[in-house]
Amino acid sequence: MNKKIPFFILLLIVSVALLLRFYRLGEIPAGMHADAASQAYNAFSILHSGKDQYGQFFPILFRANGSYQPPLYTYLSITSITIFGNTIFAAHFLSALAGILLVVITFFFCTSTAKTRMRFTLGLLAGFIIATSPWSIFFSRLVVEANLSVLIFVSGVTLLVLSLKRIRIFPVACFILGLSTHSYYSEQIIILLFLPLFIYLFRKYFVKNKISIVIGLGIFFLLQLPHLITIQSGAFSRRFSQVSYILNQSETSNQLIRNFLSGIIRFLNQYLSYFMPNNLFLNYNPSLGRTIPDMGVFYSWFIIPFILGIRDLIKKKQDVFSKIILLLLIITPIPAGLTGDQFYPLRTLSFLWTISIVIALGIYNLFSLFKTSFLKLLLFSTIFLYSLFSFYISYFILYKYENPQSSSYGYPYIKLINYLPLIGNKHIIIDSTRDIGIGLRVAYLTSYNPKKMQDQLRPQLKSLYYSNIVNTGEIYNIENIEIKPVTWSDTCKENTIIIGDLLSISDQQTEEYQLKKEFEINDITGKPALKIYSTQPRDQCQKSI
Amino acid sequence: MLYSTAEITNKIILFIIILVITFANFWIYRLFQTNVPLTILLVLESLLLFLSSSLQLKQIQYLSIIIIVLLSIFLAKNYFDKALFTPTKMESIQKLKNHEYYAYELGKIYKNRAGLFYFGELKPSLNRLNYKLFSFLDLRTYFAFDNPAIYYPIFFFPLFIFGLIDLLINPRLNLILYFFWSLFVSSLIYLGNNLDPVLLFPFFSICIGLGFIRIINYLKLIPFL
Repeated sequence: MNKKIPFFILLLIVSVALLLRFYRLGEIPAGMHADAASQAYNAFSILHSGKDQYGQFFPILFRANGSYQPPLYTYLSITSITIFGNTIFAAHFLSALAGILLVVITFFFCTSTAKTRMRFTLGLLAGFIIATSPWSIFFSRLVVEANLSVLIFVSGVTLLVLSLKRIRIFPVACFILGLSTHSYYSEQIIILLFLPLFIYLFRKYFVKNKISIVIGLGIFFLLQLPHLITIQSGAFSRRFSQVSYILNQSETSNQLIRNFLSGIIRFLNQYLSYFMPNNLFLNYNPSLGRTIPDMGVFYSWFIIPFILGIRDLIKKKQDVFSKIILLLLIITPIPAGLTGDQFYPLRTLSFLWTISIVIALGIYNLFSLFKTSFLKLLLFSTIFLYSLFSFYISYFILYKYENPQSSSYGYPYIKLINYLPLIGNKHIIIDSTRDIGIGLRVAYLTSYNPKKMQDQLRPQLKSLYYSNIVNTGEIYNIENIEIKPVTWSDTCKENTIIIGDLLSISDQQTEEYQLKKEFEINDITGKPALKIYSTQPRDQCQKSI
Repeated sequence: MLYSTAEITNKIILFIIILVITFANFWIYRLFQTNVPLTILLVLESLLLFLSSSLQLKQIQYLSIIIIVLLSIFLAKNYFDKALFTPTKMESIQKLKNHEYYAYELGKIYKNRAGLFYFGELKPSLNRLNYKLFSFLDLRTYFAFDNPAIYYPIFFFPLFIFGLIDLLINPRLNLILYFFWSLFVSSLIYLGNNLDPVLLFPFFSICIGLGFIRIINYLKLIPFL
């Protein structure tokens, strides 16, 4: 095969990946998730002041309403916000770019690891699977630090494999893997399991190169020091207790053995859920935060190459490629298995990447059943084109309309920003009872002064910055806009606009508190989503004074 | 085909293992409570499938095919799931919403007879069939991980996995074909009481048996196996 052809095909695949990730990025999904707004505003705040929204100087973890986001995505987002400004596109850019780079890194992983005769074909197939898989496109189009994390993790694994030929690469691989632990929580556990097992698997080679191993592991452990700080603070345990069932076991029960056994069974149940075909190849979980309508994380027909790929791995388990993939298959779902949610794809993107490699291997084996290239090309082109058409329908049509209605992406509040000039200098109160992300969305998109934000949010902290005790319900004051849960005393304020969703103020309450409805803001389907009222302080307000 | 005494003993022991596993579960007793002749045929099918793959006798293969065809016809005729082609109320509401979205976004690609048929009738029915088919592939359901044991006890799970691995490494065409066929038929029927995957019973029994045999081979617990 001409050596340039694979790279030309790779370029085509990257173009497809680029199109699927950047087409109307920032518009679909409509809106901006609360976590995304937090990360984007923190990046903006760090850019201008070196401090986050609470005034913490270059945090190790970003507090962000108690979710303690790993820092790498936020710090790297500074670049895209500098270039593109405070836009939804800028916030999403890094994740989309990570999704595209993952295609390239996957190609290099396969060409470095697989056997010579199949490596380019397998690499291109794997790259194409990553480029077109629903999970990869879906998470690339969201502000998802796990998407960046899987890129860094795969890069580290690729370098580890290359270090088997050139040991000097090993410290670099350890540096990259160490960095990956600062991008998402799952990778912290995966790498702590994967790295020693990888060294053990290839111990005969590594035992001859002890100096490089020591240097590499030293670099890796140095990069873990910030985690030790946060473990002591309680921030890490808060995050763990939010998602895991382990710390929520009854402490009063005396039946330790029974608790232990039920914990093991629960872990196995959660862990195995990630291998079940109904979860991988079908839209099993209707939550739109995890998948898209009528589609699972992979296309349904991928189950066939998946089974063939597993068979190939088991039969050739002594090969370097098979050893690494089997090891990753076993380890990568472990962090997600420790959490309480059934099949949460976001927590296991490294596992989904590994499954993609298995599927590519299966397709490679299927290819070998067809003798004529034309027939191969025709069959797979037809199937893939239909799959991409199905994805287009599910994502760019159904998800586009359904997501803003059922999730906390705050699309109407973003649309509201365009109407603010109409309201003028009146005092505006936005009800944040059911959406804690409104304040940061408005702050980010209006480029609100970070120093002023820090001055108002820091005093509202009722615990140390890194703490397992976190207060919620923060109040934001952005110029003439106040974002907080609305109270009825607000209806007595003069020259005030109150904005809320359909549950904030009923028609009866509108009459009772003599509010005047000014206009409505519709959601993406054209149905009313926000109601804007002006206050008309009444006699009862005077009496209460 | 002639077998030595050791081989015959070997095969009898394997047969007894499969027989024991076929009866050592909760599933078969629920099946007996539902329909005795159906259950007898399923037990017979389990044994015939195992024998056809180990003895390579065509008569056994033909008998096994006849039984599965009869079972499939009986189940499809008496327990066909009409809900596959009937949308629920929620689905009907969603269909109306989707109609607006498709019409706005796709224009003439949607607004024609083929488009309306595909998006309005065919796609939803295929989705329902797909959903039902894949629901049978959640292996945890069969081994009581998060629900009461109504199929197999939890400790059969590793045996089943070993059996699956054995099947992947040494594929037995009759078992694989049986699996896909029974999966397809099971997705077309509705028996209630979690009995829909009834045709998968022989497959599961044999896989568990194969896994058990693989382990005892590995541990060399029975010297002449």
